[in-house]
Order: sequence, then structure tokens, then C-alpha cells
Amino acid sequence: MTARDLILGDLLRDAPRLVKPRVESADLAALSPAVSAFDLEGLIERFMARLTLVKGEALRARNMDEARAAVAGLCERWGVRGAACSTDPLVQELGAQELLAGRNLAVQVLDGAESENAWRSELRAASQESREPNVPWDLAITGCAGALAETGSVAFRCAPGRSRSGWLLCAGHLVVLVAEQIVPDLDSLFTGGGALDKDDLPRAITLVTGPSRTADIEQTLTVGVHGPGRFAALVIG
Amino acid sequence: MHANAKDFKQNAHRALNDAFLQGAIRKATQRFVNERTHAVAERPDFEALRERGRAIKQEALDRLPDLLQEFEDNVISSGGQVHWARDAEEAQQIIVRIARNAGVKTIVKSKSMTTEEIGLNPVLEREGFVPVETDLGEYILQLDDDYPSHIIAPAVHKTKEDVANIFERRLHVKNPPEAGIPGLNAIARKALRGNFLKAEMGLTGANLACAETGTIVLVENEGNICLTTALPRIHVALVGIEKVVPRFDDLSTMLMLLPRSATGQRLGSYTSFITGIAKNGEEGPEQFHVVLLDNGRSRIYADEHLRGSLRCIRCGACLNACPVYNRTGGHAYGWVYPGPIGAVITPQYLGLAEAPELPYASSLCGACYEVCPVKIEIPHMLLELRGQVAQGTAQRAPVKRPFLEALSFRAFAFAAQRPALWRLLSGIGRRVLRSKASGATIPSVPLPVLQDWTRDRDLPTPPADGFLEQWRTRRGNKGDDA
Repeated sequence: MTARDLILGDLLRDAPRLVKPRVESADLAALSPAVSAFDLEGLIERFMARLTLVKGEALRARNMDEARAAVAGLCERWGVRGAACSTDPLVQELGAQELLAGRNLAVQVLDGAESENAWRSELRAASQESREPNVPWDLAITGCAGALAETGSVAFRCAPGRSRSGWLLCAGHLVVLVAEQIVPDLDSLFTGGGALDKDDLPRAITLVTGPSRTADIEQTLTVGVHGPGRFAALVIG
Repeated sequence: MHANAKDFKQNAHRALNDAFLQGAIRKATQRFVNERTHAVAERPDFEALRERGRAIKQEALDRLPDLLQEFEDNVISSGGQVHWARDAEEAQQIIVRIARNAGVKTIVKSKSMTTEEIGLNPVLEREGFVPVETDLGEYILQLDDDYPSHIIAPAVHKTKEDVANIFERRLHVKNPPEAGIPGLNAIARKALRGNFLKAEMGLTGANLACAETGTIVLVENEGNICLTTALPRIHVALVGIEKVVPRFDDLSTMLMLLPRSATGQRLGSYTSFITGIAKNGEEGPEQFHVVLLDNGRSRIYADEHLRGSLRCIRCGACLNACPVYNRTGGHAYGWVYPGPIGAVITPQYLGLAEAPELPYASSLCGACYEVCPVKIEIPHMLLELRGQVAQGTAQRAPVKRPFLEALSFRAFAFAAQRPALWRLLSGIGRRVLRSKASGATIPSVPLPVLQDWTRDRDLPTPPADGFLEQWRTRRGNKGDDA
């Protein structure tokens, strides 16, 4: 008998003989009225307000030109010297790479396993030798797979050229998204081909809500403990 | 982990005399309580959500054997491997074997109550591995050879000066006083960053496991779990068998409940859904192992009155709400799981004889039930356990109570059933007590039992007349109903 058989055997002996009919999600959902719906402008406002509450920076641009100006302004405010960009179509459409290069900032596009590995190797070597890495790591610029108004969160689905460490290891993180990506609450991410589509699950999906934080020492909130200490979302539209 | 759950009273006394601890616990629990209240108030449907949470976890328990097999199938079909461990030792051996086969040295660990439960770190160290706790609080405790005192805030009992000393002693880095807590934070970030980048294996627990997809969910604020599950080439998750929920959609409900109940956050900074190994050039490990841990859970499952305690999602809300935990802190409970839920599950994991005082570490006020996101009937379970302590069960002999206590209860029962004797004895008792009174209270009574009782509090002075005398007087001597 394997441990598996023994554990399952124990549980089967004690499990209720008449298993209750499976409670369907729809029945459960009926118990919990949906959060009141918002129009798009209401969703954007709520998303930005909630993100600000968790110490994230919420930016808004009506069009691509405004978006580019916002990115440039953020780089200045945060004192960015170099940035790692993901391959999200929106980041490319924004022309983040050209924009930063034009301002004489170092830019690296993490466009797949090879460039990601090389980037991480350099960060590892720098950490071991206690020196400054010679690849950009001040700022990560990425897109996202969806955003949540209720919590001010963005959802990342990992994919080639969209690694989590690409932004986790950076000091700051800027997410660009279009307004239509914002959904009201967590339940909406789970339905209808949202960011959390159960039929197409990558290795990791992470919902990010503001900067990395801890209050483990004397319950004093500090940001940037392991992940980015600065987090901003730029809503376009 | 070494258990010291037998001596709750003694441990509690030590905690009650520690002024810093008292302040720190009160501050932490008060903060969590306030933020939870705020986060709950904002969802008018929170009660319905709680009911959904209860129903999901209860359904999961009712169908546990089936769901575990479904979960196993789906982990395997997404490229992972599943191991089953009956107890702590089997789990340790499985994890050691995985690490040894893969030739790893450094193992980065995220905060996991389950790995604390099986006492994993000393075993890994003995086998030549280097386990590194990466949650800031756990890292501090690991460096100081200490263990958590709160499920959510493990190092709540340490001051910043303690932490500065620990870092100086163990990491040889001095934090200038003006750098304060952000400085300490930066030291840990730097030390741990190197470990993340070089570790070959990442070890996590799981907040939830989904049968339908084989996904595990991990909730955190620091980003250490993201790094632990993204960078090393091997990921091992130690998962209690009670963590499983049936459907992927159920995760949404559980995630609306968990962070709100734990810290009052709408969501933690990072909530990760991990499914299988890295596929098609995604970032992530080449091996994903899930170790399903029983370690006493099937025994709890067998007890119908206590099975519901397996619904627990380890949010810690009951600790924060508990007037006893608020004064004693977590270490007094003597094992990994403190607070009201600890008082219920520790005696079941370790055996009632190892923790006979824990079911009594409660005033049965019910605050724990009121805040529980999955509506575990903790007060009822504590009463059930008290019954088992006193009378034993089919599986367990009664725990022997101190002679004097047993005698007192027997004497009480004898007198309470004989009205004349009761009147006589209570009359004498009142007179003796009143002779020791100073005003409205009696500061101390030099009698067995009462002496202990009055050590930390005053006894109210009893009235000259007992209940029956007063009843008779008020009813105008209409008759003796006794």
C-alpha cells in the first residue's frame, strides 16, 4: 500500500456516504449580489483611486502622444537611467524603446528566453560581486492581461517575452494598459476569456496590487522589500 | 517543530509579564481588526461571501477523496508531479529526495505554516542543503533560531533593535540608527536577492489548490513568493490535503475573503496562480512537485464534530479577534498554529494528551466565529474538545485532571443537587468571603483554587444574602420555590 492509497483509504472510510449534490457556482453566485456596475469612466476612476490607496501611482493619458509624455515624465521623476521592456504589443505601439533611447537612457527588450537569461545572468553576477549591474534594471515597462477596478490590480500572464522576473527584479515597474482592459471585480476576471481563463492557463498568472510591501518589522509599512518599490499604471484612453 | 503545547498556563504567564510583547501584539491585532472591519464594511455582500466560502470549503471536504484525485490528475497533466505524505517524516523524506536527485544546494523558501508544521528546515540543514527563508519576518526568525508568533505577522514579537542586532550578528552588516526600518529592509533585500538568483530550488506552501485545473494559489505582499516560483529550476509546494477547492471559479470567492480577513487588504500585493511547469518558453521551473500532506488531517476528518476545522484558510482573523490571544500572543500556544483555531487543531494534530489545556484557552465569547471567513464553529469545537478532555472518546482515554480540580467538581455536583446542603454551604462560603473583602472586591482569598484565581484579578464581594434569600424577600415570603 502506498501513502496515497492509505490516505485516500482513510478519507474514503470517513467521507459522507451520501455525497450532497454538487453545489453549482450559479447557485452560490445567487447568494452574493454582484457589485454595482460602473460605466467605463467610472471603472477608470475607481481603478486609479484604488491603486493610489495601495501606494501605486495612477496615470491617465487620452492618446498615445499623451502616454509618451507621461512615460517621459515618470522616468524623470523616478530618476530612471535604464529600462527593461517586455514584448507586449501595447509597449511596442507606445514606442517605449525609441522614446527612452531618444532620451539617452539604456533600454533592453526582454523578448524571449535568451535575452531574459542573459539579463538575469548579469544581475546574478553583479549581486555576487556586489557591484552595479550593467544592464537596465531601474524600471520595467510592461503591458498586462487585464485590470481590476475594485482592487486597483493588474493581471500578468507569463509568456515568452513576458517573464515575471523581468519586472520583479527591477526597482520600479510601469504597466501600460488601455482603459477597456479594466473590469469591475475579481469575478469578472474569471469569466468569458478574461485574464484568468481556466482553459488556457500558463505556468503563472499574477495579480499585482501596488508595490512590494512588508510590515514585518514593528508593523511599519515599507515598500520594495523583494519586488519593485515603485509601481505605476498608465491608463490610455 | 518542537511542540510545547502542554504548558499553556505557564507560557501564558510568561507572556503576560512581557510588556513589549503585550504592546506589540495589541498593536498588531488592533491594526488587523480595524483594517478588516473597514474592508468588510465596503462589501455589503460580505455575509453572503462568507456563506459562499463556507459552502465551497464544506463541499470540498464532503468530496475530498475525489477532489484530491482530480487535483492530482490535473497537476500531472500540466507537467507536474504529485507525492503523498502521511506524516511529517514522509514529507521531509520526499522533499530531501527531490532536492538530492536534482543536485541542489540553495533552497529559497516562502513563508509556509505547513513547512513549519513538519519542522523542515533543520532536516534540510542536516542533509547538507541551505534553506533560506525569504519572507522578511521569517528570515529574521531563521537568523535568530526563533519561530513565528502570528500566522500573518511572524516576527511581531521582535523590536527593530532586536532585528538590527540579529543582522549585525549573523550578516555582519551594521544598520546605522538613522537608517531605521527601511535600512533594515534594504539589508535583507540585498542579502536575499543573491539567494533568489542562485537558488536551484524554490519551496512554497499554497493558500488554495484547485482540483479542476491543478492550480495552486499563493498570496503575498513582498514578492518573495513570485521570485521563489519564477527563478529556481525546481519548485516544490507542500500542500495540506484540506487546501483543495473544487472549481477554478471558487478561487475568486476565496480570494475575496482571504486578504480581507487576514490584513484587511482588498488583495495582497501579489496573488499568483501557478499551474504546472513552464511550457513553450515561459519563465519558470522545469520540475514542479506537489507534496500532499496528511499529518493528522485524516484523523481530524474522521471526527464529525471537528471536521469543519479543516475548512480553515489560515487567515488569522480569529487570532486578532480573540481576547485570550490578544494578551498571551502566539508562543503561549506552544506550536505552529496559535489562537482560537490553534486551540482547536493543535490538540488534534498532536493528540489531546499533548495539549490538554488549549481547549480551555478561550472565554467562548464567540468573536472567532463572528470573523471566520468560512464560518468555523470554533466555540462549539472547543466545548467538544473540553468534553473529550474530561470524558475521553472511543479513541482516547480521558486526560487526567489535577486531583483537587476533579474533587472540586465532584463536590460541586454533590452539593448542587441537594438544596439544603447547598444553602448551608453557600451561606458559610459567603460569610468567609465577606470576611476577606475590602469594599466591593476581595483582592485575594487564601484558599486552594481561589488563591490562584485571585492572583491576577479581584473577586467581587458576594452579597450578604444569597439568591434564594433574596428571591424569598422580594416575593414577600410567598413560598420556597427551591
